[in-house]
Amino acid sequence: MTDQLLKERPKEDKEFDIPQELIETSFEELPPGEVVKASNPCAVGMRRIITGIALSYITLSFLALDHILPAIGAAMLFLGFRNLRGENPWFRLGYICSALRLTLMIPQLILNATVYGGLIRDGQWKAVPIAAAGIQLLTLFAFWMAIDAVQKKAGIKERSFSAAALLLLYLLTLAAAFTGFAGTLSTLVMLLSFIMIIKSLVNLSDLMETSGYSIKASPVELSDGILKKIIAGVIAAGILCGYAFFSGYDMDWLPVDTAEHASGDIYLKLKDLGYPEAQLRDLSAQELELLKDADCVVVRVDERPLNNGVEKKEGNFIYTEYPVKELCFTHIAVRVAGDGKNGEAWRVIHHFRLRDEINSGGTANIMLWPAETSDGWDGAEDLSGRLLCRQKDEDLAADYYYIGKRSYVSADFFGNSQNVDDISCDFSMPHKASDRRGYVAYTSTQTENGYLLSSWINYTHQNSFIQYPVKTAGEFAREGMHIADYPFKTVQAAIQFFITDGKPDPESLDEFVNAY
Amino acid sequence: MKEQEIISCIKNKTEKAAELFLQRYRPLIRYIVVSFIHNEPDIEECINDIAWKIFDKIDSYDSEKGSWNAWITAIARNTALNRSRSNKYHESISVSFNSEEDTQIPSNEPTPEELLIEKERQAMLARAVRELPEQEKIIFYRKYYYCQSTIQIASELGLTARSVEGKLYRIRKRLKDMLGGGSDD
Repeated sequence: MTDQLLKERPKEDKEFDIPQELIETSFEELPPGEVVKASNPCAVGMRRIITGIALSYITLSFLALDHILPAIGAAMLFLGFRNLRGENPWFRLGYICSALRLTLMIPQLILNATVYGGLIRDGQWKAVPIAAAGIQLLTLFAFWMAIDAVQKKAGIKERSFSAAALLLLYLLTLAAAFTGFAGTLSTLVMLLSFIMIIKSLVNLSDLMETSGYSIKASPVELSDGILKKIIAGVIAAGILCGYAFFSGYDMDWLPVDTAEHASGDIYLKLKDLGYPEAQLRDLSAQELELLKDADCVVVRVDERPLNNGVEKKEGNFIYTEYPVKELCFTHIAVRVAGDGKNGEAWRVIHHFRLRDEINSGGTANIMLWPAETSDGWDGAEDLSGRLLCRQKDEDLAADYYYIGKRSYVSADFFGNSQNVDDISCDFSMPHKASDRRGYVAYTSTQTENGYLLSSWINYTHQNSFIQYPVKTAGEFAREGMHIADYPFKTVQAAIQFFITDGKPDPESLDEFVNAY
Repeated sequence: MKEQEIISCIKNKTEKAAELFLQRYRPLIRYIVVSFIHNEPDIEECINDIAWKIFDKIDSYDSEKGSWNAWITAIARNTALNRSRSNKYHESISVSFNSEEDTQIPSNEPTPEELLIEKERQAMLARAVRELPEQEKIIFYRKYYYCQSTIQIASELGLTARSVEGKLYRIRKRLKDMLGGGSDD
């Protein structure tokens, strides 16, 4: 035995030779419990598979754990099946499936650090989660068959159906998810399922303490530790790249001459009617054309804070003050048709401008509640807009990344859902630019005299790029009520005024809109 | 069947005790034995020897000293090791009977002082092994107690063979340092 051991040792170890007889005496009468438990060929592999399955089921929706834990679970499953892939064809199938799942999951994790992560979350790329669910199902099936084969090989007559129970529970979970089964009962069912899954996994672990000794582990070219570091490194590098290069929309900024139309007839007419020149210069040629029949202009200016303010206390009364307001709205309504009676058409243009000191990384969103959402008005036609900024002493302009109507399901604070159609504009401003501004405009027609023209704008700004998964300002805005709004801030402003006998009542501008 | 039930069956020498015991623990015993014995008929014989010893010594099992599995693996390992040494001894005896040389081996019985030093080194090494981190202790026991090959250890722990060799090298160096760097070589 000594000869055999000596043969296996490299030459350079001889200086650290401890005599075999001395080593023999270092062993206690019985080996330690943890050594015996760990000296099982499938101990490492099975522990990883069982941990991987458990983590795949956990959905804690805070600190991105609902993404991190399943990812760790997928990696553990892969490492576990890799360790046992040589034992039988079912473990090999499990290895292939777990490798495929990890391959699908890594890009998903990286994509979640970009504005494109929503393509999978919102179900636009439905094939991905369906494929992932199918692969997971096949993995659990392979695991069940593999355990059964191991039990047969070990000569264990009594069968354990814990692995089959796992498969069944996963099928039930999938069925609930795909049918949209929701409510208190489903939560209870899910909780019970999770408890039963843990119990099954514990039973499996006990089972492997006996029949696992017949398993043959497979050699590896890269140790588990190195592979874990490689996987973690790839994901971390991908996420960093995602944050650095894909946390905002790809906008097409082109040089523009804002003074180009300053001498035109429409421009001069609008200026005479009271359209502020700073905003007038921002309008595109097409926008000016839509205002060519203007005969009345109503203007309202609002400022809104994009910060969290300063908390103040007066006695027992605590309130928040906003000394700095980084966003300035100039709402303009222009009558473009009508003769003072029914059938008036007004074009509403919501201009906005950001103060230079505020950051504008990530994404932003504008959601409009146009005049048509109130009684007496119809349509939100000729929807248009553009964005402008100044970089290196040059004016630049770009179209919105998206501008149009979006249909979605919104939930209120009490969880009640409703179908909503809103006008939405998605965009990103350059990191290093000044005089960042833009506008969005539409035309609405009066259907009944004497009704309020009410047009609301909701502006969602991203204050920090640190979020995971990355949510766009538009996704945030469509979620409805929020308990916490980090990293976004949504502000609202509006232009509202009565029109009586074809005359706008500017006094009514301040009656309905609350100022900060 | 649960562990306690099997222990009770063995102690009570019930009819099905042997069948139940081997059904549950044959894979474990075989796993230990194959590291020492590679001949299939010998492996089966050894497994039966081990089962017989366990049945014979069942009253000496004390759960306070260690787990049931630890006790089984200890008996399995010692029986397989002795059998392996016995096989090699018989081979060497048959070689020496064929040799024409007649050598005289000088006596190398240790002195009382040497015995005392040896006992101290044994205690130090035993303590040093106990204090090894868990992962290193597992590798050490697998290599030197269960006599598993480096490749087997690497495969089962998800490591490469080179990585296991490196860890064993560091373990031996640490133990050597703990023994004060002295060597009997």
